[in-house]
Amino acid sequence: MTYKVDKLCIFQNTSHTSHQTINSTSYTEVSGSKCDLNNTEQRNMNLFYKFNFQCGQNPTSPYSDDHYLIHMKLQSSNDNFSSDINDIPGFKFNIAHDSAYAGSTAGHDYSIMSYTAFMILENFNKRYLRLVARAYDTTNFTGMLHGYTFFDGASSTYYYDTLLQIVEI
Amino acid sequence: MTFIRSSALLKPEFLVTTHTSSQETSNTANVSTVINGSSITYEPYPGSNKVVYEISFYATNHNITQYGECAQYLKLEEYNGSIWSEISSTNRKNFGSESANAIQTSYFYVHLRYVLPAWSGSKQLRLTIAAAENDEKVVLHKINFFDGGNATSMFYNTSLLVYSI
Repeated sequence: MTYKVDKLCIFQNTSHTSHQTINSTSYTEVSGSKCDLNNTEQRNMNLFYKFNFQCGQNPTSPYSDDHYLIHMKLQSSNDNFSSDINDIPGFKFNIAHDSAYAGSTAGHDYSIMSYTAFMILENFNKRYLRLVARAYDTTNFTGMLHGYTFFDGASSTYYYDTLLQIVEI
Repeated sequence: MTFIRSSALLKPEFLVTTHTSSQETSNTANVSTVINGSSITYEPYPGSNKVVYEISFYATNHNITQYGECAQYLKLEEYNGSIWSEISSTNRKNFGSESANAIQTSYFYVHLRYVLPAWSGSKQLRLTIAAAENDEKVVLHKINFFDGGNATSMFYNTSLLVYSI
């Protein structure tokens, strides 16, 4: 007898039309990182969560900082993060960058990095997943997501598409 | 948009390592350390052309003096039954930076993806890390700062996935 089991495979591309500044010490959802797995039957799955995004030092910061430290957490929910909000153990991490120009704003455009958060979840049975982020403090460690203010060798605003993949394995 | 299909990956095998302690690499240049959570034995799906080895882990620059440099190189290795050796010099990866000013910024979230030619039978794989120069070791898996302050006993899971395509 053969059993055919459909497995989850989600690709979610988000075209951003604004930057997301991370300059608060309260956690906020990372735009483009949330997904509805539509797992209404709460089936247990092994899956990977992979999210590609970009971060740079906050160019609008009034402080003389030239680095960032952003705390990130993977969260799950069954009610679209209304009241059921859970940090997933083992998947809290930092992204950070520094430069030789720290202490001035001269080199903040050297801090632009792309990241791919890649996390495997075992026996996962929730419906929603997302990443949340906050800054280490509100002064010297703030960042900006989804693009930057320099391109083609000049001051030029651009936006970076995020890509989320959730694949059952 | 959501797509549902019967199988997204061919013969996926994965390993999630929950760390309860940090792992220090060698402080001597070119002395390799096997990254905990990076070792796996895998046999490709029959008839497949490629094998993907994908891993994420967390590292901290231990050379956290101002302008403390940190340059790491990584090699993916295979075991032939008697010795471990690098699979291919074209698969080498690097990461690094300087700790220019603030120790809070000395972190690396590392995600690596290798696409390898498929092979017959099972094979052991692992990932090694070494510093490019003396006194440039890293501390793996441990998170020192979180939620705006010092963190204690906080570790990031290493995720490893291998599959055929």
